Amino acid sequence: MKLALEKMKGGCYKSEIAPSFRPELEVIGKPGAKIDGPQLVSGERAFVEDYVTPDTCYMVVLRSPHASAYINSIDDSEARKVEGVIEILTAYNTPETHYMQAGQGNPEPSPHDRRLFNLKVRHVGDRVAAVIAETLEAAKEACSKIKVDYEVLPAVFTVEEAMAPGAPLVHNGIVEYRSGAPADLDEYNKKAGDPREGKVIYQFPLHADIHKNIAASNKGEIGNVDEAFAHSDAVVEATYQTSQIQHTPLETHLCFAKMEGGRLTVYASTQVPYHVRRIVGWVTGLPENKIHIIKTRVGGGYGSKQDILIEDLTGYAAFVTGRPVFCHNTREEEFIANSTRHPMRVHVKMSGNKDGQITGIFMEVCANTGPYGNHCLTVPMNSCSKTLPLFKCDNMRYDLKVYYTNTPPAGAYQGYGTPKGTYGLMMAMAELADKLGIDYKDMVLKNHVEEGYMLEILKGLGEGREGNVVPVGSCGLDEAVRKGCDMINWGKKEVSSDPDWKIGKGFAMIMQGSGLPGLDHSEAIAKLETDGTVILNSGGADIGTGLDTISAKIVAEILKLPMDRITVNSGDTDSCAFDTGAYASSGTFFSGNASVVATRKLKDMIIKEAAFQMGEKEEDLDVRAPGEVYSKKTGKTLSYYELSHTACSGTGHGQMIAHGTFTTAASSVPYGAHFAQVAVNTRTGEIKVQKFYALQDAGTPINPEVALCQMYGAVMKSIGHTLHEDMILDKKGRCLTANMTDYGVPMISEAPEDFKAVLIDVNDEFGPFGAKSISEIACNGAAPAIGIAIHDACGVWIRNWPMTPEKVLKALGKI
Amino acid sequence: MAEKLVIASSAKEAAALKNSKSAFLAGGTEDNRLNSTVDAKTLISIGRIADLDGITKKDGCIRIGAMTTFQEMLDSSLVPDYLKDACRFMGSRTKRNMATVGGNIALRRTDSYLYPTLIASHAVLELMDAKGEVSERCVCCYLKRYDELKDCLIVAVNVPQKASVVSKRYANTVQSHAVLTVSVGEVEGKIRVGVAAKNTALKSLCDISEALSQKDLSDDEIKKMIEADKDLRFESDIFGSPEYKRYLLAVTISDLAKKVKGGKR
Amino acid sequence: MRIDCIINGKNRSFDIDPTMRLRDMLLINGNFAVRDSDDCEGFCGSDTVLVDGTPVYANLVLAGEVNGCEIRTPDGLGNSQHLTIVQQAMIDAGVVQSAYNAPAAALLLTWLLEKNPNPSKEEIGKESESFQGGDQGCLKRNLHQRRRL
Repeated sequence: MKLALEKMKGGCYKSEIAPSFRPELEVIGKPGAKIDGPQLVSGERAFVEDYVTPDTCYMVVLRSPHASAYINSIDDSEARKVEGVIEILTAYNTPETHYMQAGQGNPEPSPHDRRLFNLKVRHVGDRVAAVIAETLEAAKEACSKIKVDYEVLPAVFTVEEAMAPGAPLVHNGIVEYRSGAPADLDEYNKKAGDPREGKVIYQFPLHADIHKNIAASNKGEIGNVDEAFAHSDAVVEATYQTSQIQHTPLETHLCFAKMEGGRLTVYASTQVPYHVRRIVGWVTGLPENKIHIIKTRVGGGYGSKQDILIEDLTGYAAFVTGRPVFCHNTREEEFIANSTRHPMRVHVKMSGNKDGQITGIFMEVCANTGPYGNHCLTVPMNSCSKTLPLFKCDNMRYDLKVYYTNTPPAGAYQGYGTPKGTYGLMMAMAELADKLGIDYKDMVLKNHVEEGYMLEILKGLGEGREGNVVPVGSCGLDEAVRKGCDMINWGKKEVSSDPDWKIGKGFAMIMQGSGLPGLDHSEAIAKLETDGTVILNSGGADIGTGLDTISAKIVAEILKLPMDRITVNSGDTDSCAFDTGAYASSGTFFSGNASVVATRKLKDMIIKEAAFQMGEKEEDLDVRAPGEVYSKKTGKTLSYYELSHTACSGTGHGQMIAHGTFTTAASSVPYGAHFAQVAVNTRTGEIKVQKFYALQDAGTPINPEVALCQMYGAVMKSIGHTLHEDMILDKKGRCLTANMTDYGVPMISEAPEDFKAVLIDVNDEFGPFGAKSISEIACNGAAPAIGIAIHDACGVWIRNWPMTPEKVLKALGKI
Repeated sequence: MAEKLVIASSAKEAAALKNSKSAFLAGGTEDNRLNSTVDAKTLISIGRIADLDGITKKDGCIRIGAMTTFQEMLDSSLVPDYLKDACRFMGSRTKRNMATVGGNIALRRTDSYLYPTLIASHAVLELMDAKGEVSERCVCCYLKRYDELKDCLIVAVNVPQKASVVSKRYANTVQSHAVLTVSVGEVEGKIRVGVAAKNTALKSLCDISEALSQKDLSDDEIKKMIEADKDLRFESDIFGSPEYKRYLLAVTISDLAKKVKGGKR
Repeated sequence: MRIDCIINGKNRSFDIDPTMRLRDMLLINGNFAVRDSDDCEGFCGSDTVLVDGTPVYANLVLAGEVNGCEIRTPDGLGNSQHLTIVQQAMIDAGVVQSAYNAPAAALLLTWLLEKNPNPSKEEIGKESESFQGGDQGCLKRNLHQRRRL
C-alpha cells in the first residue's frame, strides 16, 4: 500500500522493498518481480478450477459416519436412478491395488495400507463411495441415496488408547514385504483378522507391528545417556503434547481429469507432479507415457498437497468413465478426510551441569498417524533428526513409536515433525536452565553446534536407511541468537502498567534441511530458442513460493539475459524431466541446483557453438548482457539471436538444448532463532504476542522480498498452532471444529504487535549461488519461544498445544 | 437455502409477509452463511426499505434504523462509543459492511456481538407486527417474550446517548465465536449486566444487576450468584470447561463493574 | 427472475433464480477470480466483490438483491499485461505468493485507496485486518502490507 501511494504521488517507489544480497550478482539476492505475479494478482486463469470445461462431470464422495466399521454391503440402486448419474464407485467395482497417498520417493517409506475404497472404514470421513454425475446437484442427491450397511467396530483416538493392551486394531490384515521380510512373517499373518481388513505392504521394514497398532518405530543412541543422567547436577523430565491441526490452504484440494486420445490428463494442484503420475498409474494400471500431469498454480500447499489425496480417485474416475471429471473438497472434507499434522507426545529427559553444559538428552516420541501410514516413519523421524543436531552433546538417545488410530488422517505438514521436536527440546532446555538457576541464553550459547562440528547423531536418522554423518556446514545460528537477544533486550524485565498483565520473553533455536541428500532428485532442461530467448523446463513444483522465479533468475544470472527473455515451464510431466517435488524444503536447493546445472551446460554449448561460428577459441569467449557472446581477444560479439538462428538454419548444428540433473550427498542446513515477547493476563488467562522476531540464515536469499514473506507466513501459521488452532474430536471421532470459524485460524488481529523477519547473511557452499531453504524452518520456533516466554511472564510451563487461556488459568491454580 | 426470495418495498409489506416459514433477510451474514441457524423456505429481503435506515438523535436517545450496518454505526458521529466498542467485536470489515443491528438482535445468538451492550444500556426496540402497528419493548423484554414477538419486524433500536457501559468479549481468535461477552452498564443510577454465554444463555443477569446497584460485590459473591442462576448451566464444549466459563464470567463482571462504578472507561 | 446489473462497467442481464448466490451468478458471467475458500462462511475473503462501492462477500449475497446494482470484481482491475499500481505494488512487495485470493486483496486495497487517498497506517491495518484469514498466503500479504506502512 505504501509502495502504491509512493508511485501514485512521485512516479516511483521511495522505500526499500527488501534488503539486497551479493553485490557481485545482477538479479540473484535482489528483490524483483515474481514472474507469475501478474497472472496471479490480476485473476487470470491460473488454478485447477479455472481449466474445467463445460462438459465436465462432478464427483462427490460419500464418507463414513463411523470411526471404525466393516462395510457389510452397499446398495446404490436408488442412487443410480438419479438423472445425470454416470457411475458410482465403491470397493466392489474398483481395483484391489494397495498403495499409499504420501507423495514420497519410490520405494516409499510409507506402507501401502489402503485401496481406492476399503471394505473397512477407519475414520469418520473415510471414503465409502464416489458418485460421478453430470451436475453437482445430481451427484449430491445420488450420494444421499446410497444405502450402506455397516458393522460398527470399537475405535482408538489417541496413542494412549492405541498402545493399551487389547486395544482395537486399526489394521489387522495380511502383512507383506517388498524387501526385508522377517523370517516369521507366515506365523505373524496367521493372526490376521477379517478379509475386509485388506493388506499392509512394506517396501522395506519399518519396525512396525500392526497387532499393537504400531505403524513404524525407530531408536538410536550416541554415547551413554543413562550414565550422563546419573552424573549430572540436574535432570529435568517432562512430556510435551501437540495437537491435531490442519493446513487450511485457501484453495481446498481439487482435481480435474480427462481422457484424450487414449491418455489421461490430470490438472493437479500439487507439490509432486511426478509422484501423482506414478500413483495415478498404479490405481488406473496405465503406464506413465499414457498419463499427463499438469501442475497448475497452487493456492496453498504447506505439505497437504504433497499427498495424492484426490488425484488418485479423480484420475481413476475419468479413466473408467471416459468423461472429464472435477472434484473439489469442501472445507469440512479438508479437515476430516485429507491430511493433518501428526499429533505427538514428546517426552524429554535432559541433564546438565552447573556450568551450563548439557550432558545428556533423551527424547521419546509417540506419534499418531491416524488410520493410514502416510509419512508415518519420516515425520516423527524429523522431530529428532532436525532438532538433536542443534546440540553439541555427546550423549543423546531417541526412541520413537508411531501408532495407527481412528482420527482423521495425518500426513506431511510444513516443518514435518520438527516443530514438535523443537517444542519439546527447547522447553526442556529452558526448564533445565531454570532448575540449574542459569540464564537460558547462556545455556543456548554454550551448547549449540557451530560450523565443522561432526554430527554423529545423524547415523541412525536416515529416512529408512543409514544416515550420513557429516560436519555442520554454513551456520548462522550463533549470529541469529546473539542478534535476536539484542533486538529483544534479553534479560530486561518488562513491566505492564496493568498489574494483571505479566510480560515475559523466550526464544528457540531452529534448523531444518534443504531437501533430502541421497534421496531427492531434480532435473531441468534449458532450451535456447531460435531467437536467442530461453525456455527452461523445470521438473520443480512452484507452489507459490517463487521457485520458478528462482529458476528464471539463475538463467538470467548465468547467461546474462534480461528476465523477460526467459520463460520457466514447470511441473508438466510431458515436457519437463523428473523431479521428486517440492517438499522437505528441497525446492530452492534441489530444483534450483538442477536449473544451475542445465544452464551452465547450455552456456558451455553456447560458447562452443559461438567459437565455431565466430572462428575463435572457446577460452577467449564469454557471455555478457544483454545476451551475447563476446571475444575477450578480438572484441567481436555474436548475439544469442544470431547464434541460435544460424544453428537452426538448415545447415547448422541444431538447437542448443541442455539437460541438468542434480543429486547430492551434501547437506545445506538452514539455521535460525525465533524470539517472542508475550503478555499474559494472570486474571483472565489471555495471552498476547507483543513481539515476534524471526531471524534466519537462508544462505543467499535469491528472492529476498518473497523470502521475508515466507517467514512471516510460516510464523503466523505456527502462532496459530501454538495458541489457537485445534481439531477437537468427540467420543465417536467426529471433528467438532471442521470449519474455519470454530477451528481458530489466526487473523491479522492475532499477529504480533511488533513483527520482524531478519535474514542472517551466510553464504552456503552447496546451495545454488549459496542459497538454502527458508520456509519450513520458520514453522519450528513459535511454540517453544512463546511457551518459554509464558513461563518467564507468569511462572507456568504450558506443555501442550494450543496454549489457551483456560490452560494458563489451570496452571496458575485459578480454576 | 431458501427457495424463494421476496424483495419487500416497505416495512408494512415485510411485516405482513412474515410467518413461521419465512425469515427476514437483512445483511445476509447469518441467513446465507454455512451452517446457518436460520431455516426458512422464504426470505423476505428488507434491504431496500428506506424506513429501516438512518441514525437520528432525539431527547438524549439515539435511534438506529434496523438495517444500519455495523460499519455505518462505527462511521456515525451519533452512535455512542460504548456501542461502537461492541461493533468492533466483529472482526471482519467486510462482514461489518453487511451485518446489521436489526439482524444481530433478531438472531439472538448466544455469541451475540451486541446484546450484552444493548442489555446493559437498556436499549429499546421498535417492533412492527403483521398489522403494521409499531410498539416499543426493551431488549430484555424482547428476549423474554420472544415467542409472541418473533414474527415482528425490528424497525429500530434506541439507545441512550449518555450511559456508562463497558463490554468485554472473549474469543479464541477475533473471527471465532465468542465463548463469553459481558457488558456492565449504569443508566440513571441502575446497574445492568448483560451476558452472552456461548451455548448457554443470552440474558440480563437481574440478581447480580440488582445487587451491584446496591453495593460492591466480591469475586466470590458474584461467583456464588452465577452458580445459583439456573440459566447459567455451563457445559463442557469446544469453548472450554464449565469451571473456566464460570470463573471468567465472575471475574469479568467484577472487573467491569469496578470500571463502571469508578467512572473509568 | 430477471436481474439487471452493471458488472465491471458493462450492463449485464440474467434470467436466474434470485436465491442463487451472487458468486454463482458471477461465475456464470465468467468472473472466476471470485473464489470460495470457506464454503460460504464469510471468513477468508476470497469471494470479496464491491456492490455499489462497498466490499461484501459474494457468497453471502443473493442474486436477487443486486438487481439494479453496480458490481466490481477482482478481474475488473488491470490485466497481466496492464497491471494497476496497486497490483504491481503487491507483486513488488513480495506478497503475491500462493495468491488464491490475491486478486480479491487487490480489489480491497484498490477500494481503500479510492475511498481514502491518504490512509494512515492504522486505517490500513484496520482494513486489511478484517479482510482475510485462513491461510498463510493471505496473512503474509496483510502482515507485509501492514509492516510496510
